[in-house]
Amino acid sequence: MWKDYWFAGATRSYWVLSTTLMLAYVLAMLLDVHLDSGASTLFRVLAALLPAVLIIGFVLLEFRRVRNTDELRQRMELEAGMLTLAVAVPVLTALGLLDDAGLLEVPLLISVPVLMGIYLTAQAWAHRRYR
Amino acid sequence: MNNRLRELRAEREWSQADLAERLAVSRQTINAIETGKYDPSLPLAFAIAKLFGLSIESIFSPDE
Repeated sequence: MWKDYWFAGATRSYWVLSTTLMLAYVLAMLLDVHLDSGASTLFRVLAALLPAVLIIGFVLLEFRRVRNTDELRQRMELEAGMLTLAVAVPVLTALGLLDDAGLLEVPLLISVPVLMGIYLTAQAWAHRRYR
Repeated sequence: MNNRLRELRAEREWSQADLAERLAVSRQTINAIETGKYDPSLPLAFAIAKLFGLSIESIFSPDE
């Protein structure tokens, strides 16, 4: 089942909390995009930081989920995490430097989807390796 | 590392899922151990040995 494949160790509370965090993240991003430029600086700073706080919550939730899995799953998560780091750091650094050199216009916001894409690919690789 | 897990499991007519349930691990873990893709931790090796009533060294042996 796909849930056992991608979300081993997920409990009912995981699903409730992750869905809540995901919805809150979407709302926070929408708030950021549609924020009135006349809003106070403090409010704009808080609105800009809110998605980051929600991502931290999501990462902690994932950490708890992985700790609920068996040792092979934990090994796969470790390998996927290391592979993500090994690929994401040079990719994001290269994009940043290309942007800095004015050769490519890369919005900083794409780093999250790029990171998630690399992580999901790395997870699929790790699962395949031990299949 | 080599192991006799598949042989011991077959003797008892257990599926990989049966053994996984008895050891509280995933079926994928059992498959990975049997195919030599993954070496279990010491606690899991002890749990396997206890389940089959054997010593660890009679189930697992180092590569020659």
